[in-house]
Amino acid sequence: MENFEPKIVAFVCNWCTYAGADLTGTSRIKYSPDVKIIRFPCTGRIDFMLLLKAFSNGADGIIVSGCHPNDCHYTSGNFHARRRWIVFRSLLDFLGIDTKRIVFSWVSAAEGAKWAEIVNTTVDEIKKLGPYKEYQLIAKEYLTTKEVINE
Amino acid sequence: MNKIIEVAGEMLTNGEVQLVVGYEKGSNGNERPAFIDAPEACNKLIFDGSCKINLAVYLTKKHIKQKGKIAVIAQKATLASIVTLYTENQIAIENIVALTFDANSNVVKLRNIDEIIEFLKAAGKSSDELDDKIEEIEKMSTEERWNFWQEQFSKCFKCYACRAACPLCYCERCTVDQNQPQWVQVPATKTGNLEWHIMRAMHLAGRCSNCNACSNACPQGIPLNLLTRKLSQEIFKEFKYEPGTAVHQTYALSDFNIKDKENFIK
Amino acid sequence: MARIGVFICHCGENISATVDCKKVADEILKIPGVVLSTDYKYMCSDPGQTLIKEAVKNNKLTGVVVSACSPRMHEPTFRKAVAEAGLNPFLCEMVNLREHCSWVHEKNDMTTQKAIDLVKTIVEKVKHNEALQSIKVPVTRKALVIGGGVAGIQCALDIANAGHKVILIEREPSIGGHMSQLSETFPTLDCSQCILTPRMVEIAQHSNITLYTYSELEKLEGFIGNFNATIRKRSRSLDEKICTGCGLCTTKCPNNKIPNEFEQGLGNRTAIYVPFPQAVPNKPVIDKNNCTYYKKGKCKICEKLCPAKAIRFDQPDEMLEIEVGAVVLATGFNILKTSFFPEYGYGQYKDVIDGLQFERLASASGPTGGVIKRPSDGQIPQTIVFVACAGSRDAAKGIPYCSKICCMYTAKHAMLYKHKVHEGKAFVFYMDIRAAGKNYDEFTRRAIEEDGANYIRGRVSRIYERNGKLIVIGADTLLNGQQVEIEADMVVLASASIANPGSEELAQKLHVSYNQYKFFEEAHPKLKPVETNTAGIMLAGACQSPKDIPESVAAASGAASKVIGLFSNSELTRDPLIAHVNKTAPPLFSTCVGCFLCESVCPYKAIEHEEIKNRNGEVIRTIASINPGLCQGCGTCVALCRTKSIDIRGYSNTQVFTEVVALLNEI
Repeated sequence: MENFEPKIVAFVCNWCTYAGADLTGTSRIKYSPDVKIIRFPCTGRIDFMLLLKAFSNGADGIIVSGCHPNDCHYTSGNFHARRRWIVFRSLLDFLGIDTKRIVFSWVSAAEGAKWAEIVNTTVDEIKKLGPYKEYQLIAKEYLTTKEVINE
Repeated sequence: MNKIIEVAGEMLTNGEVQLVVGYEKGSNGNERPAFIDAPEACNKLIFDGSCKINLAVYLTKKHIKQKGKIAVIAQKATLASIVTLYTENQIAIENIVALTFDANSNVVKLRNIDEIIEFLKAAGKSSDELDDKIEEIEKMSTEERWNFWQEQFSKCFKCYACRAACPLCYCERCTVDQNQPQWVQVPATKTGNLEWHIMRAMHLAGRCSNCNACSNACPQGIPLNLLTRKLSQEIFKEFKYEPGTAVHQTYALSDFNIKDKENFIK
Repeated sequence: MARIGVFICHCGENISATVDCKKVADEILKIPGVVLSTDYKYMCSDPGQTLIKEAVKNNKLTGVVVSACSPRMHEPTFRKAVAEAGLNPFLCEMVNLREHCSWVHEKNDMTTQKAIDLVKTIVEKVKHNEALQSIKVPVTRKALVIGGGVAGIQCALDIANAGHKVILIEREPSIGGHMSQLSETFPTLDCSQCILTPRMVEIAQHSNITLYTYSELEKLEGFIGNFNATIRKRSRSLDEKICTGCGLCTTKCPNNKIPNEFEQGLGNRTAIYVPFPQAVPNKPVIDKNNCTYYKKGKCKICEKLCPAKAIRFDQPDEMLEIEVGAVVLATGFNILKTSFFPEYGYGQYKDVIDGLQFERLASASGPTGGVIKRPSDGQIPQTIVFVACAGSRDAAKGIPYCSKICCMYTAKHAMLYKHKVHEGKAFVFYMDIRAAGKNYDEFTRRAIEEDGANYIRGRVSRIYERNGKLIVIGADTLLNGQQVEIEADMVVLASASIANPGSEELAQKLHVSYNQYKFFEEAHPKLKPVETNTAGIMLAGACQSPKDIPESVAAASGAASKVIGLFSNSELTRDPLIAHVNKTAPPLFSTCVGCFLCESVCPYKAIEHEEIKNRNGEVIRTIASINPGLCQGCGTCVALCRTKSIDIRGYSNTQVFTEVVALLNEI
């Protein structure tokens, strides 16, 4: 798989991981541009259907990241998110969806270096796994760009 | 079962209930739900191995609720569904009497939530044959599992019979009915089917009473009960939570424990 | 039809060194709905902001996307600029091209492509942004301070002096707290009551303060700016308006062997009593648990003798309903009693006492008139052993934290003892000497160098009685762990500071977080030490963590400043990026099915029940509704809702869905 640049979406919370990624930037630590961030107020906001939408729109990998337990800006959003992920992951695994392609992490606003590490490790792993052909094959049947809501 | 016919007839005659929801013989040897408001018609009632519908699904229907007080023939899973419906504020339990059988085949009338929960506790757990099938699938590789389910889902043509049969799918506007945004693709495409079944399994996680009504209703024979059963197992294993065992103020996914497992989080 | 204006910032060279800004601007112009796409060196500068404002006006923009640094940096700047140009500020969003792109990637095509993707995502999102108004919540400019110790007193005075009404409630019959029990305070050794009582009198006389003692909080409902508090004013069995405070009843009451709480059990009091001479209010209270009349129906001597006829045996508790805008928790702390320590005698040795008991012995108005006497036989002790860290810093006893004040007050106790008993011997067993405050270290050194206290670095393993003396077995770690045995006349345990009884219940009543030691939790350990996570409820003093007097007073003033800040406007302005439940046409009224599984997910209890009624007033259905005063906008309820009836502004379902799709697809 030469020159395969994976498409990886990162769903991150505003108060910890987004700020941590800001710190990575301020510290000028380099990481792969394959990962692009979408900002949420809290990991508790992340709907599991969005992960499926990411895959069906061509993502090869997903990172979901938020505040460490007990550090959530909203006290308990990350605890609810964690529960949701435990259940969702077991379902995806049961259905044969490659859960190695979804990376969950806790990255605090002080962990700029950790964010870079998460990104780089994930990119390496997804490169090894290759593009998510199985999901992208079924998604092509009905083009999902038609789902983009235009005014 | 004559006893059921007797009891139901009595309850209608003395005005204790205005409607009995039970099972009767349908076409081709199948079952059919029975809605009886006259005592004489009670002799239609049956209760045997062919009775698979979860009658709790009718308890949230407006035209049924309007009848007044209702007696519903309940199997164990139906009772668990009733408890969940009560917790979610969807039924007026004072208007419902659940009729079920104890270990000695006597008819038991359960009139309030505490009685239902007590009865379920005493009845204990029954082993599920599905657990073997689930184990079989878990032994497959990721690719084999994907192929297995893709094959199963390819049979689906989005009739939503599974949704119609499930007592916990009572939402007036289901997420599939939304198109702003379009969470689930409408046509029976590979993606649309996968999204629908994942969505449904997740919405039932922590609420499902494993009555198998969904897979029984599926005209294509897709083993949907494996998905809901798998998540029931997972939720019991991880969070020690079982729907229908108590009037929970929260359920597994609206609660949390500081010590929930983290081993998959970096 | 959308008319989005996109501005790509070079940020000097910070972005343009790695990202081809011109190319990004050109590509973004191709997106349907983008009418203007340009790049500029410094968007946050004055000319940069003018560029945006002109564009908004001249191009009739319906949305603005500024692609520059992190929104955590300049989102308010650009939103303000946009607002000044006449466009709703929430129609302006930022793209992070610096911290998340140019600063972390190399200069190449992929980086520019990523920049294009990121801008494209936010452009598509902004098409779904709504014009929002900040939420205004009215504020009742009255504060409730719970707790009348030095922290509560300071806080109440600060708020009252700023011109706002304060209600101060205290569960004991008098305000003053533990500070009123102290003899002298470190590091100045000035008399505790002398500095406190003027403040206590000020509270009683302040026109803006209403004081309710012998009262507790029964219930608190509502939210920031709009609390409804129910206070139980316990019955004193006395008409306070008539009572003159002459004190005759307290001298005549025959029931006079009740252990006195103020004296920490070292003296007795009567059933009708004033806790201490300088009590505020200086009116007695009848202890219903011990009074002969309440227990057996006999006596009533106080009623017969009272010259003002103020005694009221049948007086009920009074429930007061008050509306306040902010609450301050200043409920203080407690200390471990000697009964906690099996190795020190389980509290059975009368001459093993705790720090507060020693304060009462040293106090001129105490049970012994300021003479240090052994509680067992009234003799003056010639040798006292002070045990620091009794219970604190000990994970095995369940108290791993440091109680902060004990090193200082132990030094003070040793000094007071030596000042009163010149030939007496004072031994202090310590682990460390924590004297970090201003003049604190000099103070502890004084105890050692000037007053001759013997400091032994080691712990005490056992204390037992032998022939009327207390044998203290400890170790001296600076002499290689040599065992030390001291025959003492008295032992003072500097026992751990713990949360007050009832803290957990109070915290639950107020929905305030607390830690495993039942101390109340601050909103942020460094940056928000006097606020809780519950908006409108502040913390002051030792109820948050062990503190000495200067720190408690500082925290109290800090909490007061938060309250005064809240009260500085008659309305509270809140960010409108909060959740809301949808409403639709009848007969559905809302897609919400009323399952209320969302209710338990909200950390702020912002989800309420709304009854939908028909014209006859009958309830058709009950659906969820979000209190805009409480919702903080986390969105956990949104992700949980099966019917997607709750949505959140700024991160709505449509917006995040659009972002995911836009990010992964070509223009």
